[in-house]
Amino acid sequence: MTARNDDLAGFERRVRAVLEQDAAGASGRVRSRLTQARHVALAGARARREKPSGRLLWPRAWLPATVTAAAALAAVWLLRPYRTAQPPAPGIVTAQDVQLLTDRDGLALVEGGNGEFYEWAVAQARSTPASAAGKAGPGKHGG
Amino acid sequence: MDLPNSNAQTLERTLGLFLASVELKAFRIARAALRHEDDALDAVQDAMLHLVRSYAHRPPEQWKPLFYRILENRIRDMQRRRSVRNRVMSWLPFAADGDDTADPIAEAVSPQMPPVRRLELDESLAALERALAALPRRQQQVFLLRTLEGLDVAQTAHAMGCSQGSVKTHYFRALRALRAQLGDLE
Repeated sequence: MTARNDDLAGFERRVRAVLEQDAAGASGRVRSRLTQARHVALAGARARREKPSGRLLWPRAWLPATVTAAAALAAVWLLRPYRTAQPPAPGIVTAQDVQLLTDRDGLALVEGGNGEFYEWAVAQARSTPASAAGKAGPGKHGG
Repeated sequence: MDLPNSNAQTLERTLGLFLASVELKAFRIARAALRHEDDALDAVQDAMLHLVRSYAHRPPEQWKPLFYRILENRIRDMQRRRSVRNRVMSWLPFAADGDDTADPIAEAVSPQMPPVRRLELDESLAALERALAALPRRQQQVFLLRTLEGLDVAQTAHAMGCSQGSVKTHYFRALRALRAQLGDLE
């Protein structure tokens, strides 16, 4: 068993010697190509190191940021109508409230007690829509 | 003094030395697997680029198994692509091998070796290449990584993406098969 292992070990050494001599005696073309390949690989690393800011200008580097910004803008645009349609929070006075409070005619209409007239007008409009405009209303009219 | 730049230059120099130390053996391993010199050179170049681009920041002691892992993947990709290409090309009546004629000057070996020794080596190598080519691919790669590159069992397992037990089995079977075919290799 040991003799066979020694035999294999000797064979292994001989194979290694043949392979190493072959590698050492490579042709000029092969050596040249390998040297060139090594320089190309190292030059690529050097270029990346010397121009780190150049990577930011690379369009693909900006792609995720661009997509995110576009999605955010689209979301803001889509949500905008819903946000404006919401009623104002209690206690907040809007420009519309101020306009209503300062409009004397509008306030007189609300406070003038013309509820009866409006009920009559609505009833007329429902019964005869075409002639409702030409007929006069009962009793109290206007303010 | 710009310390980061100095560190980067040191790293680049270390990487250059590492690549110079493995390139010929890597080429030899790739050529044994691909049986084509230019394909082997392309595979080694790709492995160099990938290592420098993606793993240069790793500790240098990890570079060798990583480099051979990349090379192994590249060899496998090229073999698959070649297999597909051969299947496609076999259907074409005008398919040819192309101009693979070697330039005798460019192919000239290093003048450091005496011609007689070179001839003997070529004969041994031709026999070894035939025997290696007859091995299953995994056995072939494990054998070359262990014998030529000198990776230990753990490093070979990492490079091949398999278990250490598998490496030992592949290696022993490869050694026994080669021994049976080659007898006393001189």
